[in-house]
Amino acid sequence: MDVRSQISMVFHLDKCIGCHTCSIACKNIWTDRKGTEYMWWNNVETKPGTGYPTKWEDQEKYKGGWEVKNGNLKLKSTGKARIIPNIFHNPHQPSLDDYYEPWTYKYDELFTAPEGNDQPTAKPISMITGEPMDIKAGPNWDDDLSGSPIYAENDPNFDNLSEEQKAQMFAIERLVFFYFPRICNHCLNPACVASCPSGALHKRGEDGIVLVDQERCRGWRSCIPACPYKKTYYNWQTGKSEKCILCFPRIESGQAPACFHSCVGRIRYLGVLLYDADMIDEIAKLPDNELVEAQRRMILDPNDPEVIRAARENGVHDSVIESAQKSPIYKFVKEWGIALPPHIEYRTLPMLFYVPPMLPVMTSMDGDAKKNMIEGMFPDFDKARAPMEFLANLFSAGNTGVLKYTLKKQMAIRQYRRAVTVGDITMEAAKKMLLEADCSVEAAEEIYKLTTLCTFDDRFVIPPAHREEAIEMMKDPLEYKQQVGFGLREEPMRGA
Amino acid sequence: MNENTFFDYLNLFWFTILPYVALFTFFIATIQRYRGEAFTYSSLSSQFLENKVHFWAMVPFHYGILTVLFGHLIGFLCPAELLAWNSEPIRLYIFEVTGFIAAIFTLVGLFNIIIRRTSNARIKMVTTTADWVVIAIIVFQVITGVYTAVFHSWGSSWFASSMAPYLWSIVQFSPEIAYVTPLPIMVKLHIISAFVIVTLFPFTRLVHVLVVPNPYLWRKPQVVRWYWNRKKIRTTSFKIDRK
Amino acid sequence: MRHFKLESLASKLNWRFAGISSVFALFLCTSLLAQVPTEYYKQNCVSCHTIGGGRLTGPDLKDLSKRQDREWLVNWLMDPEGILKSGDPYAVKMQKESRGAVMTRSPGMTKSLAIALLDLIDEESKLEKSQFAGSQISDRPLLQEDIDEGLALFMGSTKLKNGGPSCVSCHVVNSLDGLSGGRLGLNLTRAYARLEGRKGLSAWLISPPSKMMNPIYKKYPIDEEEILPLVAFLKNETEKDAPENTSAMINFLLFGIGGAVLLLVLFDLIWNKRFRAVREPMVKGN
Repeated sequence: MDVRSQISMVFHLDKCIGCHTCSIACKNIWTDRKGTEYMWWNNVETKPGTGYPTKWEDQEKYKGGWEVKNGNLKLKSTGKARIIPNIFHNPHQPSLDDYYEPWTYKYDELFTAPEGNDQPTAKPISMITGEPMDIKAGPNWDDDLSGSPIYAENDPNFDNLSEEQKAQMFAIERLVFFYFPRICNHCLNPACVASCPSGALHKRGEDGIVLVDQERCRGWRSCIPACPYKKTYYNWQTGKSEKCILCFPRIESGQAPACFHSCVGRIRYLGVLLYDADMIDEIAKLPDNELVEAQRRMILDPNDPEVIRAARENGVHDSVIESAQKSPIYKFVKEWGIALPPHIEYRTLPMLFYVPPMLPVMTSMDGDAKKNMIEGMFPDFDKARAPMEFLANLFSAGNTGVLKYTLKKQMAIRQYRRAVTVGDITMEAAKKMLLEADCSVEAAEEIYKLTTLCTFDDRFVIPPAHREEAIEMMKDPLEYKQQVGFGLREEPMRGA
Repeated sequence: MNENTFFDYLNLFWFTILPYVALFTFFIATIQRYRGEAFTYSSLSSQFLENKVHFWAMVPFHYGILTVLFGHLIGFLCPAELLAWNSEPIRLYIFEVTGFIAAIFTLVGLFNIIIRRTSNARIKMVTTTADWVVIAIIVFQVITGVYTAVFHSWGSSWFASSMAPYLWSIVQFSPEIAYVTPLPIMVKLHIISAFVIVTLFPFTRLVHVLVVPNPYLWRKPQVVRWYWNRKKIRTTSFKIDRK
Repeated sequence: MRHFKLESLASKLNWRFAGISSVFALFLCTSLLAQVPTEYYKQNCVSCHTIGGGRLTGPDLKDLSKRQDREWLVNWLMDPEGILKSGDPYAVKMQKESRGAVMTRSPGMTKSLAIALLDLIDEESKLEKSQFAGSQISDRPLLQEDIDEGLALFMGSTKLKNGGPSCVSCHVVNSLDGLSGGRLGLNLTRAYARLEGRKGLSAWLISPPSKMMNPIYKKYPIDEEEILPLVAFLKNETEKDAPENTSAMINFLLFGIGGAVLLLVLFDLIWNKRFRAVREPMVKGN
């Protein structure tokens, strides 16, 4: 057992209102530099929709993630043998046009335009060339189902749905959507790291944050096609790749990352998970529909004395184990089983989990949901406005079983709370539903509390980073003796 | 100074002084740049901004120039074996034609590189003067090379018997320029511009050649960096105390 | 950890080191080491001059000091081209006898080296058979076998015994077909005639005096036994006097361009599924 700690995340999708505050917080801190204008380390997509970059989930085109070939895990985009012939022109790298050309406006023309019959306008200009341009795409171009005949209907998650199901979903009176905020998943089996020819991409051993070492990145751009979530980006100005750093400078000083901190819907949770790194290879090779449960098996119980012993032997700090025991992520993912990883069939073992949205599921076509509620019965999920297969393609590699489990449990808790506060459902019916949804009354209360009344400290249990101890790995502190200090790296020498 | 001594000095400059200036600049400046400015070592790819002409520029150029360089390297490292290979005329022709195809390929790539860098507005934004200097010197190098291949054949044979000893004499610190001084002017220009390229190498994007990702070929897929000593057991309790 | 080690290694290679080494390297490469006259003669003179072996490209040097005074000879060695230009009658006469071949200033020649060389020539002249007497080529009649062997040597299919590059590397003769021979050196179709026959051509081949060939064949001389076949072959060429094969160069160009075009097509096929665009075709397709 190789126990490691991983900072993991849960996004509760029912609470997301699609305000993009997270994206703006991130952009203002990290990607407002030249070369990064088009990057959104955090972006919020509307589902169904094609997202950013366009159709990023279509791995036939983008070749992201892993596949199992002859019993071995192989990257779809590259590999030791394929890197050499493909290094000059990466055959799977998307271009700027598949994201969008970043632009700004010539605001000064609003003031300097000569007097005339028309209102002056601020012309859009490209942030790359500075030339006037036609805006053809943006980072959330299909926000709130805009342009849905083009964008929403091309959502790759519809690929294995019947025409009937698709048509049903786009009937105007049944239109349904939810928001899908995305950041780097800081995967356990990151494809970007495995593809990096320079060894610049790496996973931090202590907290599992995946980073690009800017001093070692040489711009071979393998990571961009390799990441199936398209969360590594190429900085066209510096010629290096960049990606979400999970605001590690904030985490190391005990603060939540900017997108978490700024989230107005309080949808985001952050905490430590302990996992068994020895199991990664074996688990990542399992068939698609077993992956969600297998990934949960890797996540270890932080209260198990055997796990604690193995963790300490592995150098995991006691304070980190302590955080793991309080981790909200552990509860959502493992104890309650209501958070699911996005597209785990890419086999990178993402460590960002989503509580699937119930809202589009609630009201079935005949609009008779209330009747179901009163009778203490679950609605027929197969008649839900969003087909189960669509959600399962997104959150459980097509396994509708684990998906329905999360929806049932959430629904039962709502009915239970309705019984408590409104009282038009009998407590007996509500408890029967809870039982059927595999949820105790205590758990229901706890989920209710963590979902609705959570404070900062409930949502973000950030392990101490202990950077003060990091120096031990780098240099003997006494080596700095007699050196000048910050900035001067050579020992002072008597001039020649 | 009479004419002869003037040319002697010129030869001395181009074929003994310049090579050493080039080699020492190369070693010292690349090391210093790696030490101080590792960040600037990058392929500086612009595929992201334009990916269609890019294929027709980068692929022919790199495959071509690497094949040609490899041919020169064979002539330098194993001249005797190369001469043995060339002893059969048909094999000599195969070697020469292969090299020549690669040279044409390089030219096609260079042509597209120039087209791309002059016609695409986005690419213009990431094109610097240094890029043009590199392109110009490489175009010069390839054109003199192609001229040599056509009009001063068979280079693969005479390189092995004339250039190889000269280059080795440079490496062994006892330059014998008698091998190169009688060569035709185009060949001489080819040699000189090669040394100029070596000199410019550390100051341009050419340094990306030095960081080709060979360690990737034998490392494990996943890279994990530890900042702690993993064998140390940490027991100090640390309470999170936030108000 | 490794990061820091690399740094300290690099810090040792600082600019001072670079400066010192550059100066050292320049010193090494520009100053030629002092020469032993015998060695120097072997390296620089034997290609054109024998001592007691008869004329090659240049005159036989036996009893040289009896023919010309030492001061003149020292000056000659120091700057032969200069003296030729000045129109010195003796020098002009010698050049005529050598069919116009020009002696060049040998590398690293100094006054003391010139004197030492002349002393060496005097010493060797006294011997019955000097070590620099050179070799003698048989004057038996040339046979068809000699011509065939010469062709093999010219083309390189029979390797030169001492490891020198074969003639085809740089030279062409008109009778060659296909991609023909090299074009760095002269067309040798009429070489036999240019060098005025068997003796002149043999002398040339024993130690090729051209500036280009000299350093190469000084190291890997053409063997005595190889000279006769080569002479036979070149004589045959002069006699045949075939018209020039002009298509060879065009063929070479066509091979190159055709090959490159084929390769481009092949590359396009190999990477046919390369990523081009997703968004634009999707938007346009709807």
